[in-house]
Amino acid sequence: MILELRHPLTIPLDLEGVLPEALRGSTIRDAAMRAVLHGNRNIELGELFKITPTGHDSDQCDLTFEGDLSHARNLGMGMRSGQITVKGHAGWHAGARMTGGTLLCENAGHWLGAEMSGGHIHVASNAGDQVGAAYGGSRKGMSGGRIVIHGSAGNELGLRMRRGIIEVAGPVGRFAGASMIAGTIVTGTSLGAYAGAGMKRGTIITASAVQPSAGFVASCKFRPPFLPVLSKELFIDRTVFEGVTVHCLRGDLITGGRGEIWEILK
Amino acid sequence: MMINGVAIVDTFAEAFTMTAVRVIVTAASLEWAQIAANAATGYGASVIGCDTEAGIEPHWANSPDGRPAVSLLFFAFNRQSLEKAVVNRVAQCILTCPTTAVYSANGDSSKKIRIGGNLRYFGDGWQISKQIDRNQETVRFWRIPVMDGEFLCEDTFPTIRSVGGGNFIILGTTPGTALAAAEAAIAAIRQKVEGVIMPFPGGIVRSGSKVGSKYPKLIASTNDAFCPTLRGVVKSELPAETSEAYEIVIDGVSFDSVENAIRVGIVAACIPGVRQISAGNYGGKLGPHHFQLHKILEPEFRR
Repeated sequence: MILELRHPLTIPLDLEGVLPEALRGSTIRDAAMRAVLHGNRNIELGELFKITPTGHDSDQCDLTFEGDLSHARNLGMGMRSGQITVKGHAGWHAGARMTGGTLLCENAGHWLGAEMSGGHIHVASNAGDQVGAAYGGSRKGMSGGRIVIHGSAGNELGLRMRRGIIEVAGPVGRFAGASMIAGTIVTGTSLGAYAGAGMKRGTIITASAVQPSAGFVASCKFRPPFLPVLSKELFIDRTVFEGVTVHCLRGDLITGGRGEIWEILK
Repeated sequence: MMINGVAIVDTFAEAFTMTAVRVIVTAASLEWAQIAANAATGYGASVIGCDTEAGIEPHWANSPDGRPAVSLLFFAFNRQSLEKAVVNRVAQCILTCPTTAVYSANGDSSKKIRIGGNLRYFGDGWQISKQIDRNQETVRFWRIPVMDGEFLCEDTFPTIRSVGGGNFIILGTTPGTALAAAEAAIAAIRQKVEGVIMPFPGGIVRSGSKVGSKYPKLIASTNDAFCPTLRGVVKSELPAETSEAYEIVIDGVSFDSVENAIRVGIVAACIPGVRQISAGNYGGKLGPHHFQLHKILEPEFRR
């Protein structure tokens, strides 16, 4: 189905539950009558979106949103299968707690893929803060799947992430991988200050200079055999990570020192 | 049937169903990969006395990490014994070898043995698990800290339902001819056939065995029917004037690969001085795979 935004959004729109698996087998009329929270009112999806079929929605209902959804919340939250494509901004909490399927968008706001445990998220341009992070009060952030951001990402990328891979081609804000439990973060052009602060395990790989927090110690320079294996599966520019030596920093010593930051040496 | 004046006996080789695993070893140089491979496949001639039958596959080009790679095949009668043998061999011969890493290759992904998952404890708590989605499957790796950096090993390796014990026996009339023919057969198989190993030293067996012995503790003993020095005192299968016999034993990842290796090997072994080529079997009662020599060679060489 194609969901074309009729008018620009000015207040938040909660799209939780508008998922490929929920709309599979639905008629256009059924989909249009689905209730969504717009501001503090429940309205029908059809009031905001012009919905058109794509021809094979009965067995595989992939959703394509057209328009600026930067005021949207929870798009693709909890998605299990199928594909959601957003031709524009996907809003906050996009793909949060998803367990499968694919979310494609041009930009995304904060909490992209927060606490997700499976599936793929691809952002063509930029994403906000706390990508793949744990929500306040939660012990674990992202615990599986993959987030690929071809532009930049904000602060606290992968906060308390437990498993999975986050790739960011462009600049990343401060506190990337903070309190990380495990998993892998790969960044390209620049990595903000305090990366890995409080991390227990996990790996941050960066092609830029590192300004780690005080709990990190320089470990060694070596050629990890895992890096070329990983780089083959990367969606961002993999040539940066092939056949290189890394400067390994171990930390955060405050939380056990079993995490690591690999700084690619040019 | 005659090929280049060599008689091909109308008999069959009897082989067994085995479980195999393919292990890819990479290292900083081909030399170190081969050193690790040679060590890991040593003492892997026959499951009669070794924990596994092992060998190196020639011409392996696919390297998961872009470094020089060597492919090893290990065979055993079940997954439990295969896992035990391969874990021990990787632990003692590859993990210990400078710069090496170990990866799996194709196989029946529903049945696996755990190698990295067993070796990880060597990391004493400093081992690191990494998961990557590869070919729509999640692959787990273990990174174990060692004194030159890290040893990387996949967690599980898919096993292959395979065939072990395919064979043929070369009978020569003058000393040295059967050995030269066997060497030619091994060279041809290594050059032309994929997915097989010849696990014995140099690929050639001089002590072909029969099932059982006069000594109750032995499960196998010398194949006296093919020993030239016993001609006249046992029921010999050696024709007159035969002075030596060598057996080529072939383990392969499929029936077809073993059959192909037997065909290529026999054709290469038919050189002047070879009297006859036969095969070892147990009357067809033990192994489910029968390689009829005439049937294998008939498309190319009519009787």
